[in-house]
Amino acid sequence: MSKYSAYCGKLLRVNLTNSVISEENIEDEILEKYIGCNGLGAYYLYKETKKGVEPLGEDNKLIFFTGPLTGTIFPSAPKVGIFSKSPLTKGFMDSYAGGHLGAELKFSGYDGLIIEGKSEKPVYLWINDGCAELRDASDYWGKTTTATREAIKRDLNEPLVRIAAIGPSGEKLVSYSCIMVDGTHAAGRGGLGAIMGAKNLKAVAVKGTKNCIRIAHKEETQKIVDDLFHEIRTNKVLNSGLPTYGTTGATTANNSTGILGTRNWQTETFEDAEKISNVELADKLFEKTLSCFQCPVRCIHFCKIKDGKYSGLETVKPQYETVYSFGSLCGISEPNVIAMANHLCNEAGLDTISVGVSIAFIMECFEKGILMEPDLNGIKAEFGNSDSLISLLEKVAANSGIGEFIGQGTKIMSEKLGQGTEKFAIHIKGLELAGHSVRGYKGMSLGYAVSPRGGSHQDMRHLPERSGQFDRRSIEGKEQLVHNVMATTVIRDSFTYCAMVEDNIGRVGLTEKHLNIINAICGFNFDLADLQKISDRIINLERCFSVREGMDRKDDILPERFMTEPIPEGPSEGMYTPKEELDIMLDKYYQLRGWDANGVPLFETIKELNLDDIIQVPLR
Amino acid sequence: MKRIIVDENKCSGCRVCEATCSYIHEDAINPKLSRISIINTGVLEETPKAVVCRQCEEPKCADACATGALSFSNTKQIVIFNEELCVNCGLCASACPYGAITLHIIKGSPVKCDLCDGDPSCIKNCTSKAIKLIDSSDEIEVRRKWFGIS
Repeated sequence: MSKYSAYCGKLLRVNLTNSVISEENIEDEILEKYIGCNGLGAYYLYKETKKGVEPLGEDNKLIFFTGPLTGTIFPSAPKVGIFSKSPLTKGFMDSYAGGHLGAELKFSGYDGLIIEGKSEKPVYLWINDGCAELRDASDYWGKTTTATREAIKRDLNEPLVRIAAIGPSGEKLVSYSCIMVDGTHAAGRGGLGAIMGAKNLKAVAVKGTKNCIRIAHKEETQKIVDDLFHEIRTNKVLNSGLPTYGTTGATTANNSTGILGTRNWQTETFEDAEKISNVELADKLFEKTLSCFQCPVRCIHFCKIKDGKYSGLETVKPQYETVYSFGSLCGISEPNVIAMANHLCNEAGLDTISVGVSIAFIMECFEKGILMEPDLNGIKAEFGNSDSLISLLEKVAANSGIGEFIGQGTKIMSEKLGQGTEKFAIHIKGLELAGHSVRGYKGMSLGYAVSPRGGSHQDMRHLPERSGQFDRRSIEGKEQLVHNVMATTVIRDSFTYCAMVEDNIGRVGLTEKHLNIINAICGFNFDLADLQKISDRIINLERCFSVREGMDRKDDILPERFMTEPIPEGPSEGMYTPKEELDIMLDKYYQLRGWDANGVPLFETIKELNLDDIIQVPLR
Repeated sequence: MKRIIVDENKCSGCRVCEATCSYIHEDAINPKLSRISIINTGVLEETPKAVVCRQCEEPKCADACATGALSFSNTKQIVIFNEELCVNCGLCASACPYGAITLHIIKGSPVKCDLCDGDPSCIKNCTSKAIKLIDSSDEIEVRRKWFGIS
């Protein structure tokens, strides 16, 4: 047991090759260095995999971690993080899912899981209050995520069990398959579902009723929690906007600033944005409000298509990123179609961002005459053609015909096609871009380029620039902004609280709030310099992982479109980030981070951050 | 009698009530230590359902208790628990027809709602305002008496 509160102090190691399951303590010294979730995921992944590990091979590991705040009274901290070497980017990948699984895992007695090896036949992992076993999943292979959850609940006769599962896409190793958590959440990014599929692991089911989570300093914690609850309940966005619309308000907000990715980012305003606005979606689709464990924000909705196309479909509602990827990015203006596309992804187990961006890429290839109907199994892949969108998506979900090609992701597709398609292949490090403009924010240009994940909006955040707090049109000081924001996102993912409340805790640079939370709940005696060093350590460790796997400055690059084509119209007309500008920002950022001109962490930086226990020799 | 009721159409299934209840009473967060449970199977079209002590005027838990540790208090209008008399036999939890009593993970004693001395923490912490304290007769007991069901 840890001397620090809120942790279980234990992880479960599951070897699928020999079916050996064992418990391990997590040493206090490791918690002091890495805190939780993101930090621990990075630590164990670096330490336990060898250079060049094949993402879909037996030697890659799939790691689950909760944070110290998970399962406590701290609001909006339900997340479980999943870590591995990505089949999509071949670098470090972390993706986080909300819901109730994280808390359940802690109530079962574990902070995390390390899954290694490969099972001979399909299995699922059943963690029953501190006892774990591998059970046959042969009958569930091929089932959708919902059918899998239902079958497992029947098999165990446990309707309340929380489940992370893959769908047919993960089984077929589609490179951007996700892991669905319950029916409402996804660890969506980077193809973690394919890693489960490669290991023949269909699902992880958890029941937790035995383990008690304790708090170190009651009075301080109660005050922090009460204050945050009060802030959430009196904040218009958190108490009204998100419970009514989820994150879909971003569609019209981004459109009115001229930074809404449209038709594969050829433009950044969408003439039909109002048709897929939050108000339209809520009116046509949203029913009951749902929430994650211990979260008063309640940004999820049960969704039912009331009339028109696909009428009667009951599913979970799409959030903003999905409205972007299947809506404006594919030129689609029908809420019902976006809801159906989202549903198909959730059931097949696909990342809605990556598949939407990949289909938008195909649509642009079609528009330019690079791919024709016969190349696309007879599908007329026009922007705005909703039947074509759904047909292409079904092909990807089934991994058949042209779907097999699209399922490899935008980077591989453009490399195979050539013919100048690289110019509009919208990915960074192989990860398709989220719905926040690269060109429209200079800070995001740098942030996306250096994001360990690639095209993710969760390392650097767009909000400090969208709010006007920082000038989105200037490159001045953006290395420091990215440094400061990434300190908070890596701490957010290590603690682990949700991005929905990050503004309340501090989004640009670590604050006394971050410090007080972790000291009060866990009983650490950190000061701000300690916390800063921990965030630097985790960011550097992720970077070292990707550098070890062959990445460096050459990979800190933006899609060519964003470096050569100014936004052609709208309120952000003329904005782009030429390579020279990116290079200026990269030089400054590397210097600030203690990396060499090629973006490789210097060995003295590694030593300074006490990472030399696992990185004993210089990386290059 | 006073009891807690939950408007299941308002409940979002966040379980803040569970964590708060467990923490306020037991200094620890654990769903089994909560006096209230939100039964949310994660099936999207299902509404979360709440289970909590109904504070019966003729409580089956008290009938099952050999030591008198559980009884209906006319002054407080709730079922009260006297820990000093409890021998941790667990019969109360089995006897409750509503499944509203769990047994303490360490002590084995009943874990049941005491309405927090009239100011329930679950109500104070419910953002959706789904939980209410009402003071009225129990419709199930009223119906039993009315139709002569023993």
